[in-house]
Amino acid sequence: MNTRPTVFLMRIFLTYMVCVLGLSMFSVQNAVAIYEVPPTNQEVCDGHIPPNCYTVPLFPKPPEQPSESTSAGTCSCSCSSSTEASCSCSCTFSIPIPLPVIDQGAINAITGVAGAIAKLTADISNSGEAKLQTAGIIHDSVFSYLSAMKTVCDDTMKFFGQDKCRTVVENWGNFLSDIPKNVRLKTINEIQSTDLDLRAMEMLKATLGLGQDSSADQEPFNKFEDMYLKQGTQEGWRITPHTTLGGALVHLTQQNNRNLALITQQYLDQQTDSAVEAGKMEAQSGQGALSSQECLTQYVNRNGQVVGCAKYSANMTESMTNEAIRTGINAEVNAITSATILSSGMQSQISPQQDPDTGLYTGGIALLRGLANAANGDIGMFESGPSAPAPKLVAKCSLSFTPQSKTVLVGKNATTSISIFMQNQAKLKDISLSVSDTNIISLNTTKLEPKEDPGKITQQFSVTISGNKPGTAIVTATASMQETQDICAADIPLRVTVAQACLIAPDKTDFVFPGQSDVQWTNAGMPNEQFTMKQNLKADISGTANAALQINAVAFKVSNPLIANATPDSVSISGSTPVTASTLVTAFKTGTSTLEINVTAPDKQTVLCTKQIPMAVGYRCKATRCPAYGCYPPTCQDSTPETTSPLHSCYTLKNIPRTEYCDYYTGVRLADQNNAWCIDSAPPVFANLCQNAVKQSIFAVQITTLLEKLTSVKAFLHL
Amino acid sequence: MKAFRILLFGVVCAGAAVFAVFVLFSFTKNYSIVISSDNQTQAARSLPNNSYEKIVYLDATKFFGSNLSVLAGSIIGKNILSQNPNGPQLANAQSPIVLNQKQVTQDIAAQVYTQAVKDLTIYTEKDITRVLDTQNAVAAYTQELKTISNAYLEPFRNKDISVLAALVIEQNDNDARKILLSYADASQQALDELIKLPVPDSWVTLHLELMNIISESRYAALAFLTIQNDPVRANIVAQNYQSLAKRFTAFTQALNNKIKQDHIIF
Repeated sequence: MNTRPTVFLMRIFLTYMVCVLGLSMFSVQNAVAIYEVPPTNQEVCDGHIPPNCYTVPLFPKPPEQPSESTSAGTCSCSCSSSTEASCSCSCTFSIPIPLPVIDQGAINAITGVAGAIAKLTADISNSGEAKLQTAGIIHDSVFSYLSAMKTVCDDTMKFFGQDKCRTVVENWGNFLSDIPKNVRLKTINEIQSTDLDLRAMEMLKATLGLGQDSSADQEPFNKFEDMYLKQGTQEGWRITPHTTLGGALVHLTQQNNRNLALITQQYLDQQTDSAVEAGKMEAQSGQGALSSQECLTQYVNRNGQVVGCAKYSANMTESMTNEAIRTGINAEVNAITSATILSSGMQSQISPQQDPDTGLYTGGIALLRGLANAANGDIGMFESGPSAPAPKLVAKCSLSFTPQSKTVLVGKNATTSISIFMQNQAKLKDISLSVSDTNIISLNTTKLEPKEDPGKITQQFSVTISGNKPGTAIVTATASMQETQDICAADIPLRVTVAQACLIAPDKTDFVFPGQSDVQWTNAGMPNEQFTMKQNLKADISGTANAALQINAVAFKVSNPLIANATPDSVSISGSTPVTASTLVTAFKTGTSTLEINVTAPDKQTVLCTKQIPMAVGYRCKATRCPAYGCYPPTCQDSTPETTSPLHSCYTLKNIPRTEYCDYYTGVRLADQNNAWCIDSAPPVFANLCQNAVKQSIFAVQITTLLEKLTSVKAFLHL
Repeated sequence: MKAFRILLFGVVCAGAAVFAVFVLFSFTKNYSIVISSDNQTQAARSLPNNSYEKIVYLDATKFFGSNLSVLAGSIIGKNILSQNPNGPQLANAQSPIVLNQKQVTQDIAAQVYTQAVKDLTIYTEKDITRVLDTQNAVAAYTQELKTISNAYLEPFRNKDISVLAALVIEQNDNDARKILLSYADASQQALDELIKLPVPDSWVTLHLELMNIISESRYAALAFLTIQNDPVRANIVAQNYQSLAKRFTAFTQALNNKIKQDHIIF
């Protein structure tokens, strides 16, 4: 009995062990089979596992598998018999990096993958966007140096010394500030030639700060601007500055560092706001003088859709100088960024070398080889590379007249501008002109020749119209394209009428200058502090025979907008006569110009009568005299000679008491309280002396001939 | 009594069977890890659940840490000021601005190249963990390699960054832009996984080349996306894209040679 329980327990234990082992073997076999032999492997190897093969367990596939994906790894086995040892498997595996696999033999072919890459390379390298943005970025650097006065002087002193610091700032400041003024005038024409609806046009003009007064073409300031204006009118006009950069710079030089930072920030904020507003309008209008290239940093959602623009190229000033610099240094930038961006010695450091054993490229960074390539002149940043055919897009064009209607005087010639905007590489075939009634008007030509300039998306033509007899006629312009034979056309109604006479009488008693306080003079340069004056006038067309020829507008224009501009202040038109109007004149820089007053017909283009008033702008300062031997703050001496030339040195009215004001550079006395100013005519040596001593630069305006009694002039326009 | 014994034997066997199964599942390490590991790995390695409200700023400085165009521009701009203290030479319409090209070239070569290298993550042996070249190590490595490839890169099979970039640049294709953005995310996640892998000695060269190609392809995708913001970088990438593709071709061939050499079967 003592052994029975033991035997019984042993039987139970043995039975337990047998069960456990049996179940364990069963379970393990199944587990390994599930884990180590995935169905794909079983199929590939057909149940034969060669002794030299070991399997790679596969995890389940990820949930997102593209439908077009191919297998990452594939094996093919060949077996000479049914034994596993007789099988030989060969597997391949590709990691799906989204890079093309290039056939060495096809690399040089401009087809397929290599062709697509080459095309992309060429597109990016030669895109106007890349060029424009690069030029803009270069300008940003110039601008940052100039606007941050302390930095400029610190840096430039390293190069030139302290005495030249201010020279650099002033010279470049003037250069930069001159350009946008000129361009702004051109921009008006650009905008007017677009297909913007009226509301968008007005909004755009308001944002750009453009008025009717400055709508005419101006003589370019100099050869450089002329060159750049001709080349730069097609690409991406930016946002107008309400502040001139030059003015900001002048102002900045008068501030301490603390204020400098504040003013700079205010300036940039203002320009950014303007940029955003104009960018919105451009987006709303869909096309126009402004282009999408204004955005420097887009932001997109996770669907890849562009949500908006986080950073615009700050303002029109920058844009214009972008263009200027891009044009001006085109050759240099091209050379730098293409052929000479790196010395050839860099190539050995960054070019991958192919390992003959592994076939891998090692020892370099492929993405950076372009620098070395550029150094060798293979492909420059802006040079033409190999290209593949571009995607076929529908070529189309749009045509418009500027202005959209016009009045022509009988017996006189007038001009109208035709703008043709081409999209998707449209090429013009010919442009024809027709007139509904040649008895009323005639044209100088009936056919215009397209210009061979593939880089331009807009072509402009000027047509001369002659008024033959009173009436209305329509001119139709039709442009056809080479590829599609599609056409674009537009009409312009022309009204021919008989000219009449009118009279402009500036009211000198209402010619008001701003107050006499010093503050008015010491902060010239910023827009809200620029010196302004007001000119009232009356225009009278009483007695005009032709009642249809109503006055519609009075326009004021300064002939040289770099000197000053004229902003309409008020215009009162009551019937045909009389008309009263006034304008505010803002001075920018020294020089002479003419204030032109035009009374126009309802088309706002046909000038009924005009008057020109000479004007000059100069510097002045208070209580600082700069004689030839140095600068000191004196009171102007009675012995300071007066001059009477309105355009040189000082000019004062007779019989006016002298005051203590003297000219900034020359030290010549000015009779300030009676509206006498000097223009900058001092020899440079004097100017330099004064610059070191005088911290406040001051603008003043001299309207010379307005101080004389103005006589009414009748201008008759004859048949 | 006999019936009792048989009954008892049956009960014991049944209990033992249940116990055995319990014991088996408790101590069969591989089985349990594989199951859980599968789920965990898949959950961890699934592509990011894109937040469609998320905003991505196509700003080179945010992506790369610098803007090469600004850098190159500042070099040129500084030279412009230093060479033209009196402003542009307006009388000379052909070349109104004088540049010291030699100086500019040297400065750009030194600074742009240096910065471009800094912006690109380059993986070296110091970044990875090497292990002995055993059969198990190779099996584990290749298994993980394929897992990572499937999890993060498979959606981009048969894609081409340059084609996608062309669609974005030329046609403002939102879908293409989305894929490039997704690849930037996925490739970074793949790199984060790859860098943690124990790499057998004989696979180190391939592994580093793979990581660097992924890194550079990600660099390329982001550079094309930010062409507006940094055209110089996009230019550099575009000019060298073919070279990168050539490297990838060579890598794929070398990888498969290695697979054959090590008798790896998928």
